Amino acid sequence: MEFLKYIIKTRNYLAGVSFVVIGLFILSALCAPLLVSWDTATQVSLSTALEPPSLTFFFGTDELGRDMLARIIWGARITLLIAVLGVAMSLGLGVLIGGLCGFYAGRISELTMRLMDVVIAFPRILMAIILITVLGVGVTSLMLAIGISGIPIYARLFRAPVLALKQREFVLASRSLGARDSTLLFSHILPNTSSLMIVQGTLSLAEAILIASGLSFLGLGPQPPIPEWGAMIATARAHITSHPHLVMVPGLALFFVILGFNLLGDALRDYTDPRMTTSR
Amino acid sequence: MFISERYFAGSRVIRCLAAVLLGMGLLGATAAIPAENVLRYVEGADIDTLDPAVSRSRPSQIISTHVFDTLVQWKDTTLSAIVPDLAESWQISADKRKWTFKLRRGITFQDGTPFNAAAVKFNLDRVLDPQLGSPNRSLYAGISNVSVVDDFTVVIETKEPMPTLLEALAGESSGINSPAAVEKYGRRYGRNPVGTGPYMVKEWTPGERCILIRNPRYTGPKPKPDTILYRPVPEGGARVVELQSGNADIVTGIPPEAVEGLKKTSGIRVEIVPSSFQLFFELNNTRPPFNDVRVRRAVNLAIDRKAIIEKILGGYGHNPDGLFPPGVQGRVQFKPYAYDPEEAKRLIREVYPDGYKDTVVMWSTEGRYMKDRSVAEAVQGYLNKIGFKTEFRVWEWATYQRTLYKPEPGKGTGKGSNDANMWFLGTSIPTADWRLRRKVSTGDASNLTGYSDPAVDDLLAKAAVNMDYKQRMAQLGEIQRIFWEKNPGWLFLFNQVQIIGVRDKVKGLEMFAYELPVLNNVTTN
Repeated sequence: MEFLKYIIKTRNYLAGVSFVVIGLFILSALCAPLLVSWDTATQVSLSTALEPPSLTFFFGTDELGRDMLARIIWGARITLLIAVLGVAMSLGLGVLIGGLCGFYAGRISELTMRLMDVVIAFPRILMAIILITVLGVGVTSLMLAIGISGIPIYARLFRAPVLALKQREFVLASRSLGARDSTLLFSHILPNTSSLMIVQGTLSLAEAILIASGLSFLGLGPQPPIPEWGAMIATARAHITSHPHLVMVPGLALFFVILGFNLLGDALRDYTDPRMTTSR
Repeated sequence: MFISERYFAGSRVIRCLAAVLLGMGLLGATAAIPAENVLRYVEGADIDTLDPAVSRSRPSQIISTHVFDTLVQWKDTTLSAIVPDLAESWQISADKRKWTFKLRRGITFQDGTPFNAAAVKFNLDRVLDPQLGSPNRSLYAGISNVSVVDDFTVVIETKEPMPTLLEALAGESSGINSPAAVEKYGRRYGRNPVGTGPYMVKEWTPGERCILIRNPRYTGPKPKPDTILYRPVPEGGARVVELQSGNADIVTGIPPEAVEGLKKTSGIRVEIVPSSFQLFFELNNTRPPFNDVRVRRAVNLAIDRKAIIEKILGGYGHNPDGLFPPGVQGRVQFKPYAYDPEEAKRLIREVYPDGYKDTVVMWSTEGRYMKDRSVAEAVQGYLNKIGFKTEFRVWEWATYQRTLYKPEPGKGTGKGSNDANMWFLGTSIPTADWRLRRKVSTGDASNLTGYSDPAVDDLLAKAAVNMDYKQRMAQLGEIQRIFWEKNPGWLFLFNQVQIIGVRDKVKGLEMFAYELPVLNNVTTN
């Protein structure tokens, strides 16, 4: 609420629009079963193949005669599921590792961070491909691939503030009162990084969606007939000259959602930035 | 710090040098291809090996048929007769078990080794050697002994009369290799093939290109192109662009949806050539639900093939009217399977009154056959409609093939022991016996489904030794009837057509129905 007021006050219309786009995306993802049936999105019906957009088929139909609108809506659900669970996993484990390594500076934490550096040296998409090769193709392994490949980024990012925070007076005060390490870390230090978590998490969702759709474009994501935006673009590619809407629709959906998360993340960053608090 | 800066400065110099060297290398390579009379051929899949004895993939055979000669060969692309090639003439003994081949004189391999009877014996012994592990071995299994009579006479003895011997010797896997080269390169021979054919391999970079140049020692009619440049481009749309941008003269596997656009492009024509390629989903005959023939029949009735051909293949395909498409030896026509989902459901209820509860695992590949993945998805849709739960997996072709033909005893081939209930494959083999034998004879290494029918095995055994061509074809025709009408082993999909894009300047291209080109007589200007 506070954030919404902030958006209105600073007249950050882009952030407002992105808020609406993301809202629509999440809403359609959550309500997909209420809007259209799974069968409409997946049931092959060759008699209606490759129809142009019309009133019956708002975005037209794909080469197997499935309603593109239904596939976009269910695709949003899959995309959101993969992105949120993937990011939650890398955020959770990354923060834990980064926090512990920052809190207990020592040989083991040094070693862990160097290991993280090694992992970070791989391009993330390559790392994800390696993981999928090991885990096998499917929704779960795509989620794991995105989650695991993101861990080192968070570990790196969260170690620094923990290093700084543990020297702060309130932590020292609590420690001198006899608080246990776990209390210090989980009740005093990590809650103070929450704004970083929210901002980074939002921005990471955009990246996770991009990686997930990229991987399923390559055929490493959900297997047919599960609708996924990247996979939809891959199949529609053959018809790019004759039926361009088949590529455009999932492409634009991806474009808006990723842009939305990025703008939202930027706005959140401005909002949580202490240097901007004076203007609030 | 100082050291590390110097180190980086040094590495930059090295990188620049490397870039320059690389550039020169590329220039060198381009310069090495003469600008004139280069025939540029683009295909979807890559070559795996150039050793004809062990290859079973079309891309490899496109190259190997131009590098190697065989003892005998098909007269033309309609397979009207078998005519001499490296063998001048042949005779068969009265008991039909001894074939005497007179060889041509004055032929040398591309490495200078003379071609003689010993080379022929070496090659046949090699493909028969279980150590080589050739997937084509059973094609030659009837041969009991190969002996050298004199330098230019070789005798092939067979255990039983072997009517398929000439067909086998005309096949791609019978390309005669230079014994000296096979000895010299050992395991690396597949990268360094040496034959007697009109072309020799100058360079092969896997995944990128293969360059063939004229063989100066070749004594036959001089082939027209100086150089043949083969390139694999897996993606259909990208192949079309190669043709449009002038980077290719002949492009095979044009996606149906690109045909209309290409026809309008000036300087390019599209050729529609009949194909002996039939596509199907092999059904795992050894485990439920497809171990019951009624379910196998049911799924054949559940597919609307006409809709698949019209909507997905853009009309470029044919509804199968039998096991063999036109162009295959001994073809027998039957009534095409109807689209009758109600009858399909009834048949399944007969076997599973409460419906089949487990998930049917489907495997498909992408980019190997015409619109393979979309067709497979459509099939999945039809199976769902008659009440099957399905799980779908798309594989990359090379891994797919390796997985399907995994040669582990008892776990891999010939036993229907794949971890799937059905998988997408096709075959274009033009000879009746080989096309059937490897897929339907009990326990053959290529019989992935575990199909086993005593009547079929019996007919195959009879046909294997029947020297009367007509009778033999009748026996093989009876197998087609059993497989089509009584005991189908797989789910028939469609007969492919070859859609080939060529530049207008290209003249004289001939294609076998089994998708091998003859490039010797092609001119490009």
